[in-house]
Amino acid sequence: MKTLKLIFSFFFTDLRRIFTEPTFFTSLLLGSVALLAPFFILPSSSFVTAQSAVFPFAAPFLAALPFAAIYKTERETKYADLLKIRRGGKSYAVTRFFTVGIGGGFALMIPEILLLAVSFFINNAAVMDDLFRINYTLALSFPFGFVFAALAYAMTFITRSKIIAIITPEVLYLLFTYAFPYLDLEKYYPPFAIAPFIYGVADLQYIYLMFAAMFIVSLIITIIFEILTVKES
Amino acid sequence: MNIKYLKISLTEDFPAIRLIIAAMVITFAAVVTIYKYVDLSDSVSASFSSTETTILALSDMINRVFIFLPLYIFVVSGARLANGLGNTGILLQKSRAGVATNGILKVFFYTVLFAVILLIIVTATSQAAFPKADDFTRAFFGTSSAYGFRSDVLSETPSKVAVTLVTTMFLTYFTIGIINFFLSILLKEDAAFVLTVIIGIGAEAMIVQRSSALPLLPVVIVIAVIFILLSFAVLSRKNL
Repeated sequence: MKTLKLIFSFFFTDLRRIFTEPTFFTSLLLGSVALLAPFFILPSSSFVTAQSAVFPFAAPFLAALPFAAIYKTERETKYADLLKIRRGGKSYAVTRFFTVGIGGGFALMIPEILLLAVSFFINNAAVMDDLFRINYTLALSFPFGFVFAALAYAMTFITRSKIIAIITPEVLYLLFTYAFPYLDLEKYYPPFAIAPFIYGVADLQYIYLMFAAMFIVSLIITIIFEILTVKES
Repeated sequence: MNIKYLKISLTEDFPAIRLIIAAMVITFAAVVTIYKYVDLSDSVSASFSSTETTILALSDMINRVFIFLPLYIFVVSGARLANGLGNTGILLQKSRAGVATNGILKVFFYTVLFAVILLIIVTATSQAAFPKADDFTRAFFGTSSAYGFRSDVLSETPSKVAVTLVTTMFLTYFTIGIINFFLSILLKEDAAFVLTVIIGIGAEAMIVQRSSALPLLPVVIVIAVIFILLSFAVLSRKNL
């Protein structure tokens, strides 16, 4: 019971920390620019067209930016040692996995809600007509952000550099985005996972398969790391 | 210059994991590019030769600027050119100029290693898909202008063009590696990596857009020499 209480107190403190982090606000600002600029520049743009113009290609980076490299930052500033003493030598890698994911999810969801508000304010009839597609897009943004932030977080245990950990999911994503149309794998086209109406119609089944695979891989890396660090101490 | 120290620093910071990751990504990119030319040769119903597809895959804009170059910088910056041992390195070397020479030799070594890996993978992939030929094929004559090759290239043999392309490409890569070494003296590893990627992509995109990179080669060499001299000058004053 005491352990559970410790885990929950850590979880909520960490969650509160995310929403005061400067990198979180940087990510929100970049995301808002990537969403609002196409909305005002493109002629006769709606929520869905503006959302699928630039945003899908920068989304993994925006999700990883807020909190994913926190482990490296805490190691650099020696704050990790203090946290370890406070938690009685227990590792907190897996608990943090979920807070990092939630932070990444909100980093993508809040700019989209802002775009929805702006487009509703300008032309509310178009928004009400398009409600199914808007809801579908909005619902996918949170799991997408969660999964990519978690992947970047898992990368921090493997690589030495902070920036490489943040950039790796984005690089993989862009590489597959470039390659899949040439390899006749269009139904696995990665931007479908966040912008399902970017072209044609996406199949939800593959999107969930991708989310699940990435979630499991990053969780396994984190758990292995947690076990290794517990043995060390 | 201490040969024993060079041997230690090459084996100590050997970026094995980064090289493996680079090899995987290169294989992926090579397969995708060759697949593109398989599709193309089906549509024009004429086969390329393997040397030609090697040339096309190496001079492809997206491959060369956005995939191979960042991977090269990723490998080279993993070698910890300047700040592997910090000031202890200077003590071990017994001279500051030795550290600079050591770093430049390291850049050269990893450039050659990267070039060998890249060439083996790309030629192996294109030879698996296309037959060998001594002269340029009809398919290449039909499509080469679309890929930015001038007509004077077609009067040479494919192997000559390939050798020229590879030399130019890796001399520019080596220069970018030297710039990365210079920046890693001044900045942290991460910052040097990001800055070099930005500078490198800009420079390389400019070179590729001019299609025939040969006239630029003296400029590239001069830039490399300037940065080598600059790193000697900075290292003689700055603590690592």
